[in-house]
Amino acid sequence: MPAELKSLPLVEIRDLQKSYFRGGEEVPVLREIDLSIAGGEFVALMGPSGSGKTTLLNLIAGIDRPTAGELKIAGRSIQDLSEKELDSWRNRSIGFIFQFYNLVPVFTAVENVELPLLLSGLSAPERRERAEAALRIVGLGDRMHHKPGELSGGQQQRVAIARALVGNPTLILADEPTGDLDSKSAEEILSLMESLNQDFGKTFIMVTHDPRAAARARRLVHLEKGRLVEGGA
Amino acid sequence: MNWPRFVPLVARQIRRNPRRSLLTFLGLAVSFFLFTSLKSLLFTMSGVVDRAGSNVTLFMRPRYGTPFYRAEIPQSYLGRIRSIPGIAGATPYLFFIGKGRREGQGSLVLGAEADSIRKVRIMKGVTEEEFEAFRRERTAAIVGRTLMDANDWRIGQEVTVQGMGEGKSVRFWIRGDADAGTDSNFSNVAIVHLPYLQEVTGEQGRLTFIVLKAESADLAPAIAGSIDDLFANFTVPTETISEKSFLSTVIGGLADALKAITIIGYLTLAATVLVVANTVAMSIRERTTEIGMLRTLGFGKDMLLWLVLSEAVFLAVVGAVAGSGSAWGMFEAKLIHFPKDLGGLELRSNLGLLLESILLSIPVGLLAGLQPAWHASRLPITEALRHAD
Repeated sequence: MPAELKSLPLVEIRDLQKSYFRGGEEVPVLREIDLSIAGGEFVALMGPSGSGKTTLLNLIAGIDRPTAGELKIAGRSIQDLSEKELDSWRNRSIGFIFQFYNLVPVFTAVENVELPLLLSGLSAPERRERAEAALRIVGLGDRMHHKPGELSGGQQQRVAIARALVGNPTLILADEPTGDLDSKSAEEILSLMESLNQDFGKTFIMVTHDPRAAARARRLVHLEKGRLVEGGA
Repeated sequence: MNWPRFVPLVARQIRRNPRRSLLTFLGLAVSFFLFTSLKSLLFTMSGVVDRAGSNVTLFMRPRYGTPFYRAEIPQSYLGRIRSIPGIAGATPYLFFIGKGRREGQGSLVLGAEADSIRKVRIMKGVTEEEFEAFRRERTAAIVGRTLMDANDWRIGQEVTVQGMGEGKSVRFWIRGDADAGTDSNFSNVAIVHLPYLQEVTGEQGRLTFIVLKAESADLAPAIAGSIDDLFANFTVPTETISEKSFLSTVIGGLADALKAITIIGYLTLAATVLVVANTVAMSIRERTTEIGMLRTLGFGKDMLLWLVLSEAVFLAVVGAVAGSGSAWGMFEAKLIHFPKDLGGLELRSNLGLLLESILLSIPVGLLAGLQPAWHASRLPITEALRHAD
């Protein structure tokens, strides 16, 4: 990523709040979050269970809506988008890596990676070409036609990373990407993400419990009881 | 939206659990087979009336509700009818219902007038020699091929048909056979001489009904009116109707039963809707996290709704093509027909019925998929993703 872009805030969060309502009672999950993340950063969101880190990630991904506050991604207030606009925005701007990979078991690796591109205007050969390129980037050029059940956990997570990359999104979000992997596979995945960040300038926000995973990020953000306690804007 | 690119997504989901998909497919196929068969049965019955029924031929029977087989009409009516202008011929019939070879099987013996029967009815397959042999012999009979086959009778054989009640029986010698098939008037009856049958049954001077032939179809309604007016004040008032109407009333009773069966056919489809709905719901429940993932990737609610509905419709259409197609094929190949005891009637279907069944599978699939599809598409993304944890 060009140096001048790296200084621009990609994610701007101002006074963000999120509450759930259970039995008519408001349960605050996130309070007064102020956070700014520049393009090209690799941020680790840490905190104990229930601290609100996954909720914050979901809000940034546009799969949940804040109760109050402002959330801008690449200068666009996503809380103002309609549901359809949000769907389309997510497809173009966000890559998401899940803890349990969430691959379609009846699809091959390359078909799984192609999934987000089905919503684009690309032709079938163009989609296939991009999906194969993404799989080669994550080191699975020789596993393209294997189904998830024929791949190891680490390989499945690589497919998921390729799926997150394939649409060339503005931001890649990862929710405990190494949480279901053994330490060797976890190291490989973290190295891959690190490489994508450094070599391809991809911006990562990663939720993790694991201090070793967090250590690979270039910035740590701690959440506790729904508040930022360290790092931030 | 460019739908073809989503076809693999739908088709592969159906292959996700092959055993469940196969069982659902088989359930649908059987339902549609049953449905198309029942519709074909109705089509066959109405076809019989259309093909065999004639507006030139008239049936005269007692007006008021005696059973169709009872001999109520005085034979003296016959002479009066023959004097009505516009009638080309009239022939009397007397019924005798006997037992068949097997329990519950019947043999219908028809007393007829040799001199007049061929003026009114076509005796298909009966040669001149056979008819002459019949005419000459008081106890001779011409028997329909279907009835012959059902009882293993042969030409030249002496046969005794035991009556259903009252201990009467009719003995006759078979001198000829009439063709089987839907266009034959006598494929499932034994024709004996009327005076002989009247003597045996003690029904001298009485008839079950009279069949007439008008000189033209235009004259038939007026002739029917004249006959019924003529006998209106007699001891046995008459009702004269065209052969088409007569067959309709005979088959009508059966058609009502078939309509009831068709309703059962529709109910079977309705039950299948519930089964498919349950299958789709189970499939969706197992894929809740995947639905959350697709929503995260940018698949909208409406798109997911249509994807799930497409799965249900795809299954229903394939089931209908297999089930209804099999039924249609079997009818077309004449592999299904009524038992010979029941006349050996060939069941018929047509392409319209097949298309109707296949088209019906689309609403069946939509109805089956609607609730699970709606539920899946409306599930909040975070809730769907949490399902995995």
